[in-house]
Amino acid sequence: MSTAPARERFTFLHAADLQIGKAFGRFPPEVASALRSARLDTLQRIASLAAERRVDAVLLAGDVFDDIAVADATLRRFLVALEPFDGTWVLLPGNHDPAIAESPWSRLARLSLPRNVLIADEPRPIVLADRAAVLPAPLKRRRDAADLTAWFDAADTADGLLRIGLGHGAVRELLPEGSEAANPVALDRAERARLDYLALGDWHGRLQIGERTWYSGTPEPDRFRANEPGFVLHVTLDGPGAAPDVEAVAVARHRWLRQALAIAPGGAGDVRGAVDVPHDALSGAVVHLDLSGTVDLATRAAVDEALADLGARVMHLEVDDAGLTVEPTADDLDAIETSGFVRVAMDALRAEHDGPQAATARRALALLHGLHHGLPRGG
Amino acid sequence: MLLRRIEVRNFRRLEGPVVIEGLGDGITVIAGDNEEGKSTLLDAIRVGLFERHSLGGKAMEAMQPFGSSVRPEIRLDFELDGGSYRITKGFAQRPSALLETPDGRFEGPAAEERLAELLAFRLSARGESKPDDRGVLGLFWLEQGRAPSGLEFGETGRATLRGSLEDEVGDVLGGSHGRALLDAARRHRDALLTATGRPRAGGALADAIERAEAGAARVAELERERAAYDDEIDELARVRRELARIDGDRVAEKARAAIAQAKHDAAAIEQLRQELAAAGSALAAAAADAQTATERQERRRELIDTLAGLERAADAAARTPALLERDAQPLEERLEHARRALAAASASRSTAEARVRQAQAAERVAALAREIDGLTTRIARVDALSGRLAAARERVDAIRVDRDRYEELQRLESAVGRHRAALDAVATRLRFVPGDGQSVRRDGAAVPAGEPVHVTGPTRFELQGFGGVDVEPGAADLPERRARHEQAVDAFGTLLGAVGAADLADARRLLDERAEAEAEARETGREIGVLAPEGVDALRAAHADAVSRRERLQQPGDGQVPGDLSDPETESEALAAARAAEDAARAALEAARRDHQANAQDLAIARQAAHAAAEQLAVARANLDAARERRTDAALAAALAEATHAVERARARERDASARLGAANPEEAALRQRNAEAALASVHDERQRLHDAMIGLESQLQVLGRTGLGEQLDEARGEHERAAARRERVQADADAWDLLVTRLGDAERDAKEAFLEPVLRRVEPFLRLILPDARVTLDEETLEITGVERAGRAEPYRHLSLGTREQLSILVRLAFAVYLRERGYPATVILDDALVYADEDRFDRMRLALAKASETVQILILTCRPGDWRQLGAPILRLADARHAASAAGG
Repeated sequence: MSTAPARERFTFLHAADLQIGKAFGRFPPEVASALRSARLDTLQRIASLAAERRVDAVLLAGDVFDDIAVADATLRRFLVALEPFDGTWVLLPGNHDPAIAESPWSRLARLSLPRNVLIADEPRPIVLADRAAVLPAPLKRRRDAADLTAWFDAADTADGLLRIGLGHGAVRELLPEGSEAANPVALDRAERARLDYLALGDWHGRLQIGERTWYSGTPEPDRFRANEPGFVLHVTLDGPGAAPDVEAVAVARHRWLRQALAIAPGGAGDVRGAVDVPHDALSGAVVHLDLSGTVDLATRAAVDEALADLGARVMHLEVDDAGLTVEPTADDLDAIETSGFVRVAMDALRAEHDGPQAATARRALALLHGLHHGLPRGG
Repeated sequence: MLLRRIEVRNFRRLEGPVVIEGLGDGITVIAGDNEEGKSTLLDAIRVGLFERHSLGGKAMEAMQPFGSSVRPEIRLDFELDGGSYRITKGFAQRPSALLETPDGRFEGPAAEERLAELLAFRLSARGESKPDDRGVLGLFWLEQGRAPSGLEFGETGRATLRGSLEDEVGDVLGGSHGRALLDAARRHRDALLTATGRPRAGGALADAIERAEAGAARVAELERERAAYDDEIDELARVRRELARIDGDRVAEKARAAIAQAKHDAAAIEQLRQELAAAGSALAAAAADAQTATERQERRRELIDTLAGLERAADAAARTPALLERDAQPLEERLEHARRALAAASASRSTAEARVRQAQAAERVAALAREIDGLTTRIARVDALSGRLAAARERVDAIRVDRDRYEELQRLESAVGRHRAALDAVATRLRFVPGDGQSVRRDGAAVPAGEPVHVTGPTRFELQGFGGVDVEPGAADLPERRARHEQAVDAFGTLLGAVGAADLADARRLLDERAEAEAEARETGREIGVLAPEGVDALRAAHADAVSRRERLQQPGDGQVPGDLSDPETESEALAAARAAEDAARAALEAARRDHQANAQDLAIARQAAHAAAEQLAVARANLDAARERRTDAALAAALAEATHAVERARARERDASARLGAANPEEAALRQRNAEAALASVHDERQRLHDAMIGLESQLQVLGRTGLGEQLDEARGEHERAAARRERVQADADAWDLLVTRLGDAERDAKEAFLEPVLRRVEPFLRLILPDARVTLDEETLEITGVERAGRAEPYRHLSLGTREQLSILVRLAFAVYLRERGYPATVILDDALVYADEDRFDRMRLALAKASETVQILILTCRPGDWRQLGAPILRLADARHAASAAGG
């Protein structure tokens, strides 16, 4: 400490839950690949944003990596993504990437880690630019029953230094039910520890917990839950005790959208309108549709057509049509055959719509319908 | 169509005109021998109906009789829907065709076209007609041997039939579109599933299942790897914690300090141990000194005690000889007295011995006297018995009858009796009966009156008052018998005289007397033997011996015999008492002698002992005096007290050293040092081991970490999820296709059955005649027989026997014919030598079937065996008759 702490503004970006290395395996390979690299791209955008806004530091509040066992190649790409910002990076181990004996952190340390990248894997203050002391609460196991931020309360920092807490876990009182039950963080930690700001990670949506306590959410959405992901927080602290100024900056590349859609007979046209995404964002959208209703064979065919069209317009479309019942009408059947044994078979299949193999019988009729339209109509 | 008349001329084999007339509505049998032209007739009908009259070339030439070029002509009369028609065709040089109908006449091609229209067949474009062109009519003309191949519909016939069926049951099959749908669905289904409903290898379903399973396996494998990776990380953490703990606990330093302390303790203990050893040596030296002093003291006391003992012993030894001398006199007196007593006892014993001998001699004399008396008595008795024995022997010798002689006498007397009786048997028997007072005499003796008298020789009887009568018996052997009798009497008399007996009874008495005398002699001899078993002389000698022995004993020799002599036993008792007294006296003498000797010996010894004791005492006294001169008794006691005190002091020093060594606990100190050394080694090893493990784990984890197991696993899980979803989707598709094909197939089968139902219904009554429980199956497309079903089992047509096939094809034809007739189509059944493969029973049943069909359809049967068909009751036309009739008519 050569000089006394300067009474100047301290600004930083607060982000979390990047989960670099998440594989998105349940998507087709090309979509998964795009989603995987999107997270690194977003990190790079954050680095560029930090450089652009000349912030003092970027704090990543845990779950930087999706898993402790990410590939070396991923680690290297991660370091490349940090390059646009040559200021200080403070990286906190979270429940996905805890600082256990062998982790991305120990492996990064073995690679040539740039000097501006700090791994906050021990609970002791990190002084940044002689103005702020970052108090990290790194996870050293995936689930910890103790509140790792508790040590902040008694942490001694030099007078005049901003006190910035950095944690990863659940403020149980405020988070929706079903959130991570382990790794608790006290609701009033900022007050008790006289923090100027508490940067939290774990919850993937942006969320303010108190005057000085924020979840930034993940900057790149990775699931269909609608909880305001896709931002980083640009935090400005004017001095110890001053209220933080927090600006949410959208950085996401992909929109994730899950939509329920009730289809009426003849209502295939509703499919396109169901996806409420700006035109320019459509090609990057990941869409899930839950279809319901009872339609005739013709409508069902039209819906399939409309879905095929929509699928071509978005990055990925997945459809759950378990709730969409196909009930062939007399017109449907007449369109296939009005006489002969085919009609007899269709009537038999239709009669099975209430039986034990109703779904199979419906599907069989739909197949017959498709077959009929696909065959040249002879005599 | 009903054929009514057939006329043929110049047609192949049927060169001459043939006319068959009067064909009825039902069955007509046309009979002809082999080679007579039945098949030609059928051919002629075909040509008449279907061939163009303009037909030329080889087909036409084939119609002409062999080697001839005449003009074939055919004329057929038939009825159709109640109207009469006639078609007349000529070929070759002047081809012509003429159709006469109720609506007018048609000639040339028009006639043929009109006919084709009426009978629903197709005219061949050029050349000969084909079976396909002939329509339903062709169907019912069954040429020789064709039946077993099946129905063989032509295309036109089939079209007519199908048209008729569709008219009746409607379009149940739905045309080709339905079949195309079914085929397409089946293709889709079969691409996914095998016939038995399992996933088809290489199909999309099998592929989806395979991928889903591969995905699951991949996930499982990665999860295993991941778990191993996590375990290794945990292990690494543990190893590092262990290392930190070891370093933090400063276990090694503590161990080293413990070793140093333990070594220090060991040195202190060694010092104590040496002190203890020194104390022990001092104690041993003091104890030895004390021992020496004690021994000296004891030896002095022994010397003093010995001297006192010797003084007492010398005093006692000096008193003993005087005492012994005082005892010697009485012992000598006792010895003399004993000698005298023994002499007296020996004298008494000699006297007693003499008295015993005298008593024994007196007793033996008395016994000899008694013996001599006995012997004298026995000698007198023996003398008397000897006299009686001699008398008895004399009596025996005087009697001459003994047992043998007596028995001889008995025998001779009985021989006299026997010979007397033999003589009496031949003797002259006389009985004299004299008057009162009169008598008869023979040889002086009176003959008793009234009793028989036997006369055996010249005898003279003296009759009183008369004189003598000489009787001379005259029996033949009388002299001999009389001689034998006399001889016997002489022998008997001689022997009686020899023994001195009067008669036999007397001889008996003599025998008894002799036996009595013999018994007496024996008895007397025995008594003598008892009294003198060794003879009378021995008895007398014994007597003389006894007398001489008594005389010897009674001779005087031993002096006087005392008057009070008792019996020998009493005298012997007195002798024993005398001997005992003598023995007692001898023993007393011996005892007195021993006591006397012992006293003398003791005295000698005592005197020697007294002398020795006095000498010993003098020596001991000199020793003690010498010792006291060297060290006084007081000096010895003082030395002992000092030595004992020195031992006490040394023992106290040793106890103190031992107590201090015990307090130091050398075992504990050694144990502590060993433990500390072991702990140090163990800590070193453990640290090395942990360090090695850490390095190993770190490098292993580095290698594993590069591959990105987490991402791989995430990917694999997603991939598996997608594969599983796809499998489900494809399975649902497969199920749906399967169901669709099943339903379509079921519907099509039902439709086919409905379509053929009118025909099958009509086949049924015919089929029942030959295969009661069977159903025939037809292909709804080709309308060909495909087989029969019996008891739920399908049998393909081609597997049936030749006969059954033929019969089946005829029956189905009949059914079709009946069906078409009922629906107004022309149908005439013509059978050319059919049913060649049928057995009797089947033939009979087929006849029934034909009879039944003929109720609806006209049937012409061409046969070479008209007899087979006679039972039908149908008209039988003979081809030969038809020729004749035609010739007659034509001629």
